[in-house]
Amino acid sequence: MSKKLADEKRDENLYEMLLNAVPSSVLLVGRDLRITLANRDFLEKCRRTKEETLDRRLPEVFPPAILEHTEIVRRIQSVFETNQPATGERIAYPAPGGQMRIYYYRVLPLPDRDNVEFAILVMEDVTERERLSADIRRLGAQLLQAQKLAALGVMAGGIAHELRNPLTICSSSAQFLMQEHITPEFRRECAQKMQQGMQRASAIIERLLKFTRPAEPRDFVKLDLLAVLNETLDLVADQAKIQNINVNAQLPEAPVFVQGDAHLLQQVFMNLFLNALHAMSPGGLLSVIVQSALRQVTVQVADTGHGIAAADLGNLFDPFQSKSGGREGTGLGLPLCHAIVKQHAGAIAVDSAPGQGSIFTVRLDLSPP
Amino acid sequence: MNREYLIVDDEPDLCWAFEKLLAAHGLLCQTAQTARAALDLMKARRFQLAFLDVTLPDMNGLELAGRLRELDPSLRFVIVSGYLPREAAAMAQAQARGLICAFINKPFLHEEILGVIEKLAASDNPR
Repeated sequence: MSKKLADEKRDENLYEMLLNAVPSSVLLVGRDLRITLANRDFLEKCRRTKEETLDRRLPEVFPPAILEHTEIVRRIQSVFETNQPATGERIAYPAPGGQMRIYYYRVLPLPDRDNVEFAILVMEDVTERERLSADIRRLGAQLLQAQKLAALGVMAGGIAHELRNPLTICSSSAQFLMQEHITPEFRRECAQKMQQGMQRASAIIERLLKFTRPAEPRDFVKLDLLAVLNETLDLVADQAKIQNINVNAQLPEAPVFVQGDAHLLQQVFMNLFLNALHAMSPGGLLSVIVQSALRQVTVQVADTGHGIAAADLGNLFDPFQSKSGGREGTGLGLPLCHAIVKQHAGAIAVDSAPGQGSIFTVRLDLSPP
Repeated sequence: MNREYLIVDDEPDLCWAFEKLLAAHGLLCQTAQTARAALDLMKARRFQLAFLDVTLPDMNGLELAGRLRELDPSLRFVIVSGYLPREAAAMAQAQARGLICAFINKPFLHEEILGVIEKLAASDNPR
């Protein structure tokens, strides 16, 4: 064997080894869609031999469904026409054995002197990655739900108390109605009080259900941050009262629009409010101050509670270090707040010292008008 | 001696229910929706008995009882509230040291309120 031939053979082996080492399917396709090269990943995924693949046209090798329902052929052709890489597309490819795999493919021109003779088709298997990110989303949703239930536990006393007031009025009115000699006016008054009491109780239940309803991943929409804050303040109002805590909310008159998910943002403020109440009791002041300037809105949640030690301040938002939950929480409240605020492209910060109370500041971008 | 009753509850409809209940039995009352208003009422009046809610906007019911007692050492108190587990110990303690003479859960039966009034009236006028 001449040296040149030996070199070529060695190069060919090297290329093949390199291609086979790539954890994606790689095909070399000609203008006529004929496959001239296929790496091991592709052959294994399709369970085809080299002989069943090489020198055959794409339509003989790929399932017809893929060729019909995806842009793959058109994109390969565009690479030949433009000499430019084609952007990818997500395709579902049934692996032999029936299991559906998800691929993301790209088509690149194989650089040659003048015109393109070959296109490189690279198919990356993203099935596991997509499954993992779906798992993470699901775990995130479960964590959020667990947090909500934890918040509900903290609020249970307040809810019970809040419900008992309208129930007491209904009960009293009913007892009046059971008396024999009462005037028609008083009878009507009692019935009216009962009706109002039941409506109030039902509104409380409605608010709770709305809060505990599992959040579905949704696209962010333009929403009024003040409406979210007011609803959340309503939910904790009774808890604050039970703990003898005054609530001072300084909210602007006009709506403050941000892009986001009301459900998630409510969870952030619910956590901050309940943490503040927890840090104080009995007695204290919870201040909620909203200020918008330029393109940002700032929500400050300040309490007059026991404050946070300097050593704990640094890892307050770290899910593995946070002690913020204390005995009533899961310890994941603030890390979750942090994650949600980040998701909204915002920032959350804390300023606190032992005995000096704490101020949590949430910054969000204002929605363009 | 037919002094008035004092009702302190931040829920106006609850004050309404008390007024109607007591009036039906020929008893008069004054109502206050905050601790501050109750303390103000005490400046000009003396009461037979005070029914206090625990969660008032400006003060805890037990704390208010202490403040009112300073103004009138003979005044007696009944706490009327939705039962809260965390309050149970404080209530028992307040009852043990004689700050309050009864604790009534919301929602209550009218007989419970009238029963306390009768019991205290009887102890005031032993035969």
